[in-house]
Amino acid sequence: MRRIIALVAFACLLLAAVGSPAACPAKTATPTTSPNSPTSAELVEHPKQWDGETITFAGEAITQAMIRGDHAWIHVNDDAYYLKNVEEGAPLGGYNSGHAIWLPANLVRKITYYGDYTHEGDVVSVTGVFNAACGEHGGDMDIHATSLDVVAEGHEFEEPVSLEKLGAAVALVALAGLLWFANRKATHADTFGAAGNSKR
Amino acid sequence: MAQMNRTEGYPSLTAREHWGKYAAGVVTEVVFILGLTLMGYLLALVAMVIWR
Amino acid sequence: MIIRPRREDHLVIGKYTGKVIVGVGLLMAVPLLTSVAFGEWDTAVDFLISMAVCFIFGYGAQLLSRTESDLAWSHGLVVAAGSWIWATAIGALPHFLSGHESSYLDAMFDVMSGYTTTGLYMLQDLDHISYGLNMWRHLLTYAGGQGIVVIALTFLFKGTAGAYKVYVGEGKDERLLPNVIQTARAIWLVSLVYLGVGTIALSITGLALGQNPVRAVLDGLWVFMGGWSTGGFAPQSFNTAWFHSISYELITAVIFIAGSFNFALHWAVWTGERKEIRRNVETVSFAITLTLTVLLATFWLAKSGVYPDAMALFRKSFYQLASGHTTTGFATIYSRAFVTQWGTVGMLATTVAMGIGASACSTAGGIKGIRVGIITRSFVADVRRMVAPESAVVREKYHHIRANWLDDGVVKSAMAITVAYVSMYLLSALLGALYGYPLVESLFEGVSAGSNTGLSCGVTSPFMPAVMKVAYIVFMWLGRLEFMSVFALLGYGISIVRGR
Repeated sequence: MRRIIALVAFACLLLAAVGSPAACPAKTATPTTSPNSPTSAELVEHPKQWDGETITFAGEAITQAMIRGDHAWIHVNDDAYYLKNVEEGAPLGGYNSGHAIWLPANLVRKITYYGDYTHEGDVVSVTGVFNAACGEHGGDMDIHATSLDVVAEGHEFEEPVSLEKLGAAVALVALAGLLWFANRKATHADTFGAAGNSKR
Repeated sequence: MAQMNRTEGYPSLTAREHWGKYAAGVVTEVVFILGLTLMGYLLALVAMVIWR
Repeated sequence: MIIRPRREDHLVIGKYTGKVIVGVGLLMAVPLLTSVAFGEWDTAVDFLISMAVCFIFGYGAQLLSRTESDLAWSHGLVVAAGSWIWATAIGALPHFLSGHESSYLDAMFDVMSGYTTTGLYMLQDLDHISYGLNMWRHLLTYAGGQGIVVIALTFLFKGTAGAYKVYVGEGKDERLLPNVIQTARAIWLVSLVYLGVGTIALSITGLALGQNPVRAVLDGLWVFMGGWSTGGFAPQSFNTAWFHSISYELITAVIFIAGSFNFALHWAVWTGERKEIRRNVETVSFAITLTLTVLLATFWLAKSGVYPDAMALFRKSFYQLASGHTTTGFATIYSRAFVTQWGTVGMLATTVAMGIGASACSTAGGIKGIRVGIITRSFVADVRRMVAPESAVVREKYHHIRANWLDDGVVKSAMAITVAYVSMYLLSALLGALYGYPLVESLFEGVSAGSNTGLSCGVTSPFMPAVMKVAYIVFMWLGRLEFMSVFALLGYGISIVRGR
């Protein structure tokens, strides 16, 4: 009987935790900061509605372009980081979100910076046809663009190391070294002290 | 890795005499997996014939 | 009666847990060096701090727990399950210090997801993280796939008889060779040979696809690690959709399917038993269930006309299903596309594939082919018994490396673990439903976490309720360790409180 009561109490507690306003379902997805209409997320959410439509899509060019013959792939993010990324101090705003763009290779040359750890990429605006499942590209969801404009140029930056962090690192490494040494001495004493030579 | 040779009783796993067998093993596995992939493609072909 | 653990028990567990955590610290040297090589000083300091904390914990625990006793079975299980928790708590430091996680819980979620080769993540702005952190993400999933304990076994445990007991606690119970240390080394050999071959193949393909050389090689290495470990992490938020190439998809599919094979199978095939690959209960079971789930999804997608031609249909359907069935989690479609394009049947086919999972003693998760094979065989045997004359003795065998008798004990334990997995899947679906997610989506996502797959239909996000994050962490942990060692750890905890 006591067990049953305990079990029921536990289940109630769990349900209370689930239902409490503190743990309320934050179904509010990423706050929209995208400059686009439709946004990258809306395109994924309603692929049929936009399939085959000509749209304009803007965002940060990321990582690199992949040139394949006279065309190229670029990836453009219209997420919370398209103007300023986390490394530069932008607040967290959910996952990255964007689309793959297939476009003539000569257009890619307009892009100077691609977003990565040390760069905020150029903000580009492309116009082209959205494909929910592109026949030319193995069913990929993509945009076949015919024009590209650089809206804002990106830049390079370097995240500085804070002195406090460096100090903490030095102190912790020193402590770790000390413990390693103490442990080595202790094990050494265990192995060679009492039992004599027990080398395997 | 150097310690491996000293373990008594077992021949070294990385000895050159084994390499041929290992390579044949990798090839066998890759062929088997490509067979599964082919199955996926055939199913797609059949599906398209039925519904298109 | 529960016996309260003695001081000696705590000491043994402390000592070996300490050793495993030192192993995690040593592992951090790789991302540290990567950061230094690319001049990412801030990330390098993050790793320096994290390494130091690992050593302080690891050596501290060993200093406090000096003992000569060897591990008993229960200790092995507790060390395995406990190490994963500690390794997650400390391994999350680099993620947290990077500033890309909104809480320490999120950082722990990512690390548990990495170790358990799941592949769900909370990290935000992935497209702007350092090479060092990306190396750590992929290295920990590669290492977790082999088993953190296997790593420690290979490098840190010196021929202790107890080593095998920790190894089993991590959900791997095959002895490829008579000696457990040799077994660990054979596992490494297979993994490293594939690492070499796979990375070279992906790097060359990446170059041919127009990637710059540095990125082609790093992506090759990382995608290999994510694939082989059936983890499913990729260096970009676009996952493997980034590459837009059938060659890249084929190579990654070979890598993750090979990664989902039992190490004992690899070893048999590699040592000349090539027939094993088409006779083994697990490969047979995998081939059948994969065909059935691909069939279901492919026909459904063809009927609903999502993809324009057979090639597109094959590339999307087979890849997602194989990725799900091997519990990898690589995807060439958007997460939400499962809901908006694949629909209910497509999602359920994927969910079933994920739930079954791949082979035991591999890097994969899920119920596992061997259990599905054994349960099916025993069902067939029961039917045969019913139709056979009463005097007939019906005995079934299944083939795994050698022919094995299907006795009641084998069937019973296969059933027990299967029931545990299915209960966990249902519980996860219920939890999601309680929070207002549609049932199909919460089942998909819960099975994905519990089977260590990592495909997502959009439920997992940094904005997910904290209770669900914690629950998913526990599901990933339970699923990877196949329940038993986690229950042993719980039992250990209870016996401390309640024991006499």
